[in-house]
Amino acid sequence: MSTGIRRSFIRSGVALLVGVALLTTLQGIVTVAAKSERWVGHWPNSSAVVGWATLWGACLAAGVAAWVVAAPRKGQYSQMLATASRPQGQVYGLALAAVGGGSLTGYLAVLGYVVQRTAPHATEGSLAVAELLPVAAWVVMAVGLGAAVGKLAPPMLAPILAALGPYLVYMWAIYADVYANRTFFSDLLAMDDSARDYLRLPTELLVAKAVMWACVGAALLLWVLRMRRASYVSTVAAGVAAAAAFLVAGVRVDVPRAYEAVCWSGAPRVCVDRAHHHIGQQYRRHVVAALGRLGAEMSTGVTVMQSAELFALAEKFTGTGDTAPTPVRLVVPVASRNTSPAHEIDPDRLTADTGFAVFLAPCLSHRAEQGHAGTQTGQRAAVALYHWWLSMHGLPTDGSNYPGEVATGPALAENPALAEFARQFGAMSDDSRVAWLAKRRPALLSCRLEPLA
Amino acid sequence: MTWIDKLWLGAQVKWAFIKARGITAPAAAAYVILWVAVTLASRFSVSALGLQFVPVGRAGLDTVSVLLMLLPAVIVSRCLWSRCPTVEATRSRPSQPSELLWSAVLGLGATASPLPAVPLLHDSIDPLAFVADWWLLLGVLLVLSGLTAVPIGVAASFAVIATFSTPNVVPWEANLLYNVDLAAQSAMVGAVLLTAGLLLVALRRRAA
Repeated sequence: MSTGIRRSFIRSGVALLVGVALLTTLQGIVTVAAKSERWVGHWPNSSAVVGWATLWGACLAAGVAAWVVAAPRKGQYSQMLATASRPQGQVYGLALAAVGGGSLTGYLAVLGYVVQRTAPHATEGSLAVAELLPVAAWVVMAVGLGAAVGKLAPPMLAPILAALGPYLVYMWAIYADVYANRTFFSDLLAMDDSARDYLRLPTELLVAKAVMWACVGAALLLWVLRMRRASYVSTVAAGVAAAAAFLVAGVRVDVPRAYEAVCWSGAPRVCVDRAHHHIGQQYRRHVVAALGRLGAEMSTGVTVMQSAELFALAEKFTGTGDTAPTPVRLVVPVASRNTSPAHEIDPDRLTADTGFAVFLAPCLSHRAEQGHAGTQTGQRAAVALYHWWLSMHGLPTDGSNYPGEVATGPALAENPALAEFARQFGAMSDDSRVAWLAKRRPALLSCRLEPLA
Repeated sequence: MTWIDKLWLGAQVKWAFIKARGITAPAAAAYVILWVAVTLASRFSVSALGLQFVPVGRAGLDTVSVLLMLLPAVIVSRCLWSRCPTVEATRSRPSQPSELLWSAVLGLGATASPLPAVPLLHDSIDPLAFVADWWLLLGVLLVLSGLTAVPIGVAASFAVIATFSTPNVVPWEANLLYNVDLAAQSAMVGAVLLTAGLLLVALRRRAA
């Protein structure tokens, strides 16, 4: 090859690498950022979320690989290449390596983004390298799949057909699991929806599926490059790795430490589990500030916790339960978008949930079953106070703060007396409101409040 | 030359014009098979996800079907461009009228092509949403390939679908591709894009 041709060959390879890397990074960051509430600040989830960058990233790599391999047939110069008797590796090697390199660079950039967002907040553990192995393996898989489709499919449709490939593999696994009603096939992919808050995937599974996908991709790639013997060996290795992955797919390992309760003493005492330790301080600030608006009396002897089962689970898994029980427990979940427990705090949602814990939770039916039955008037008064709470914080009163929320606005519109009570309560001065609530704290917490009695 | 010969010659010229745009028996067969694949994929996913809770005809298409629609869309967009522009450049007559006519004919055919596939859809899928998705997709593809080139248009259309299919990226109230409540609006947007795309392609007369 003359120097000029070689230089242009290398230049196009570099352009391919940079282009694929940029697009992979962009789509990866958008996809991963759209799930931020599931992972920011928590290393095990942060390590696993990089896999989601491969969902569209693998489609991109496969599409470009197919375009590279189908180009001679589309441009009608494949005969010319055949007469040149150049090994296939020399014809496609550089371009396919550029696609793979670009894809890998893109995933590394996504990993950089994830690390940069998690590192400042994380309090537990570190990056799980094993979770990243399937991501690297999907680079090989995507390039191999793309190259094979580029070789076989009509050149006009090859790139788009190859781009659909990884997505169809992903959806096939999801459907297969839905039909089988168990988690098995989706465990074999590079990305999954399993939260790593309290559980982790066995390392054997992560390694086995990484080897499996890398070998599948290598087998296809080597077949396209006409290295039949190596392709055969790779196929056999993929089969062995698949057998190993099938043995451990669907298995989850408990992380006992994640269930441990972490508490900050004070009034109120605030407790989260160790999996959410990284947002504990922020959670505490929010809750303390919100409860502070109801007066100091409302926070005395109160434990605010992230889930009702916090101490029971901590006892079960780590043997350390509630060391200093308090008379009142308020459950305020950490929820954001569709995730609960989340790793990011949605301030509005947390405020609404705090109001729910103080005013409405005492009136819940399961409390009634435990002999804490409130009165009808108590329930109505609770709705009116919750309405005031939402209005004071500028939150919607149409039941849209979280799924299953009572729509206080319409409820008050149907009951003028209750609306009047809510108005009078809102019109009180801060001091008299705090005094009113302090006097009726037992009634409020047992759902027996009498409106403006 | 008798009038029959003239008619025969005219038909042959028209047939050559159509064939130069890739309308061949394998392409037509592939087009039909791909539509069957799109509808079958929709049946499979609906039964897998157990959407029987949704009232009949109120479910949208799933991502697999929408992505598979890209394949017939690529065929349509490829058939808009001539395979031998250099030969056609030697015509004495201006080519614009015939390009516009071809865009209109193919555009009408493509617009109506999901209709025969509707009976194959699962009962729960809204036929309007199905047709609207196709118009939207083909419209985006034609506009983007009219502005750039077909391969870039295809890649960009894939990116548009990926954006609409990734949770939390496009708000549900604005998700024209999957929100069945917006089917009428997305059909309207799709029709506008489709018309714009066909006009753009016809006026550009660029080889694929």
